[in-house]
Amino acid sequence: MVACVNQESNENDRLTNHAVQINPRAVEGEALFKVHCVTCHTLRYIEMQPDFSRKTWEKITEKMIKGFGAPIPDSSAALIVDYLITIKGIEEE
Amino acid sequence: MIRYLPVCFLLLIIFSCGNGTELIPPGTESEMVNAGEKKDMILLTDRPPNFETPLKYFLLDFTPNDVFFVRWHLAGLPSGVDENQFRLYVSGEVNRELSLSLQELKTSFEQVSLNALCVCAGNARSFFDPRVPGAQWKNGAMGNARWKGVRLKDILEKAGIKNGAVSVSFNGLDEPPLPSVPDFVKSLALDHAMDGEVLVAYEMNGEPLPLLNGYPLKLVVPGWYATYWIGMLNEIKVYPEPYKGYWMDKAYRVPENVSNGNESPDDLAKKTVPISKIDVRSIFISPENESAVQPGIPCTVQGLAFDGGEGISFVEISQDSGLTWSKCDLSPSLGNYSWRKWKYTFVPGKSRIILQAKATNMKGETQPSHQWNRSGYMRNEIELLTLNVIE
Repeated sequence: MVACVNQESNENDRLTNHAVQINPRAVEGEALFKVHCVTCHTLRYIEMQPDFSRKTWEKITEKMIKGFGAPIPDSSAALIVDYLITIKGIEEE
Repeated sequence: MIRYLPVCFLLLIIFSCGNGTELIPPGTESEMVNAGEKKDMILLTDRPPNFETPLKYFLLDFTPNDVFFVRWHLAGLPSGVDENQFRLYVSGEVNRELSLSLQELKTSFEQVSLNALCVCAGNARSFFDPRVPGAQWKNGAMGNARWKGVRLKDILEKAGIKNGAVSVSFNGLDEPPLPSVPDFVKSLALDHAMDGEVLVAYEMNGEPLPLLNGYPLKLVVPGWYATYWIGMLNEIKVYPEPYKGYWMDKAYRVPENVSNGNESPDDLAKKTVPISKIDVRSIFISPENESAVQPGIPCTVQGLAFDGGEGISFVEISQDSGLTWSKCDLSPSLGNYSWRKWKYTFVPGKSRIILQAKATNMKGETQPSHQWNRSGYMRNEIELLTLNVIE
């Protein structure tokens, strides 16, 4: 039997956390992330990653935009990165 | 008509607590896939699908089709292919273009079979230290199968290769989610394509290919990483110059002229080349990491070893962090392009055991104690197995 799992709400629960709620840029970034990053693939691609530095998340985002043509304006990309390092960021020295 | 894959309708995702293998942090659950042609697989992503095989299935000589790993790059994946309408196109620097049906492939060419291991370029990426971005596979992005099909050489000879032809590209039915995303196309040098070992396969382990493993046709490039093993293969093109494309020139690159594709984060390789031959490697299969064993009772450890086709010469185990090594028992070869099973029996003492396994191939190539590159490719660092001794 095939059932339709509401994947988006489950992903919401997994990815949203308290640190995001107190950071306005991350809150905005989260909304943009959920709209833009599903265009080509499931959000699980991000969810399965370990924590990375800001520099690494910037490079990954740049690859999506420059390498794959994701239609994301620079200002949105910056907010998305702020969100990503809030949920999966390493503090840099 | 090719219809795209509605995610909801293909997959039933059952959340279950996987007994996480070695290096996943404690408490992390694996989500499992049980739907349609696939069962008991570890879910990495669903759109496009990427599933890996639980380690225990590698105790079998050949990996059953319903647990064989799944890896797609592009979300535009057909949910079915009409076997009567399907055609394999051959064009470019050829004397005559071909449009081959499956029936023609199965009846107008010599049929050949070959045992070959399919290993994702990024298999075991989640073990890299430091961690790198990409699909976070454990060891399950590989599978051993008996492939049946037609030599690529025979197909190209039927088309007739023009003088000056240099490279051949391979494309499948899967399509990019946006026009700006490069289509997944890989290439081989003409000499390689004509070597008589590269196959266009329509069967694995005695059955037609599962859709998620590339039905109806998969390119089999024995001894090379699976990035070349194009699924739903439907277009072959021959060129008078080296093929240029994103998935050869920008993706799947490894440091040039460095064994084990090794580099360091502070000293990245200046020059890269396309990934190619499978690097010699051995892994532990059983018992699984952090298993309990009893002191004084012989314990048999089982594993696999493989390389890019030279053949495994020996596999060794160290119980003392690499100071001394003892040879394992190797099972009979299933062919140089297949994996080779090995086992090693020892008697645990009272303290915690950490084993290392190291394979050496017929060319004398072996595994390094540390291996890393920025993309998480060609994993072959010597692996550890921790066993806890419990009375």
